[in-house]
Amino acid sequence: MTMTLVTLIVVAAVLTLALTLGLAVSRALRPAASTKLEGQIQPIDVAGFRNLVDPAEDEYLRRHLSPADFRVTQRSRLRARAAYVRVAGSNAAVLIRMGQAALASNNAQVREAALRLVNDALLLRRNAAFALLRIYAAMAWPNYASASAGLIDRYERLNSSAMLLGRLCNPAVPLRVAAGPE
Amino acid sequence: MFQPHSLLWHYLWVAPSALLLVVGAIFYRRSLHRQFPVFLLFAVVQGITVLALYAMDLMPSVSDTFWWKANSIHLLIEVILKFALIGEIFSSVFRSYPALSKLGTTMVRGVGLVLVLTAVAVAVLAHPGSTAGMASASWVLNLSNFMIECGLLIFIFLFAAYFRLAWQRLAFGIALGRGFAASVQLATWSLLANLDLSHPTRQLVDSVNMGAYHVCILIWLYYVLTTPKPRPAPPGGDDRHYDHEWGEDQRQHDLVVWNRELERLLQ
Repeated sequence: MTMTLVTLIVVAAVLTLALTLGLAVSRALRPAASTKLEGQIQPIDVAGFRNLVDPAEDEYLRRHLSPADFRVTQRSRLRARAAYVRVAGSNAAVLIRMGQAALASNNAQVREAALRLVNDALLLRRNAAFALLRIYAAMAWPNYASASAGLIDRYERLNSSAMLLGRLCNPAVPLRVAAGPE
Repeated sequence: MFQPHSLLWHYLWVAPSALLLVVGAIFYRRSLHRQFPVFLLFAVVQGITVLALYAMDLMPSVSDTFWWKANSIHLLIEVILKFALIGEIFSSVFRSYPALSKLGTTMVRGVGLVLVLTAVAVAVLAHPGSTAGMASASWVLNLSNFMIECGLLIFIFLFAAYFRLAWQRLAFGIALGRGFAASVQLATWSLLANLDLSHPTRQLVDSVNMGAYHVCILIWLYYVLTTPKPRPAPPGGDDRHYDHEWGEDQRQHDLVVWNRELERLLQ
């Protein structure tokens, strides 16, 4: 019993040491802020995501499919939903880093916009983590309706914050907010 | 080499504390205590109390019992200051992000509670071997202390890493030093508090402990010496620094790329 306890604590201590040193090394090797972070953003089909989280769609499938088929279909839809949420979460992480780089600005307006972007992106990342947990729980019980629709609104709000920061960074370039021809 | 009153033993006891007082002095001169007041308090109190314990250890008039009582008081003060220091690190990482402050505070309280319960369970299960009395009680207390400290530091590291939060240079240095020392000392106190080690092995483990603490102070010294003095932000909307950071080429293309990506996001 004592040996098991000691072994567990020593293993935990070694893991802590590895994590601490790993963080120090990764911080030292981190590329400069000029690295093109925007290239890491993956596009998300918001309409497709909306369709996936639409409760009316769930209800329609529930009515028209047998319970067994509904569970299979619903699990596939949940997997797709999880993939969307993971991408939204990783996009939020990229935007957090971009916003943090802009926080170094001496321009108060840029700093304010960057802070708003960072906070919106943090909320999105937090919500994405919770949404993923709920989706995985729903995979075990497909009849349970998992709500991740609120994430879309958060994503769109994040988009506005990112647009504002972009406009403040370079007002000379015309800004196209809506999709479509110029 | 590792036995009490050897040259290495004297060095490992005195040098880190003396260095910690030097770190405190530099910290104060650079006005870094405005950002991290608890760290300065920790450096001064820890430096002085450890040197006082060393002096008492050398004095023939001080009995063993008295020394262990003084050590227990020092340990208690150290625990309080250490957790205040972790709180300061936590607040320096999260204070700029109101979106996370509530979640972070709730989670750190939850993690802290779980860690305290685990540490109590480990202390109850600890088996200090043939060493009895205040020495073994001190080892068990140290084990619990480092267990909670390591857990809290891991939580802060992982939480900040998940949310890609930027660390202030000094906050990272303080956390790095504590993370290194706490993880090594967690392992050594676990051995001391649970196994019936031979006398030479115990001395070796004790030296590793002191060495880890010395490395922690050296890490702090490095970060304190290489962290620039805090400067007030210049008034007005000067954007030159920002332009420099992002680069001229990137400035030309930033918004185009942003718009293209975001239009695609919203299609």
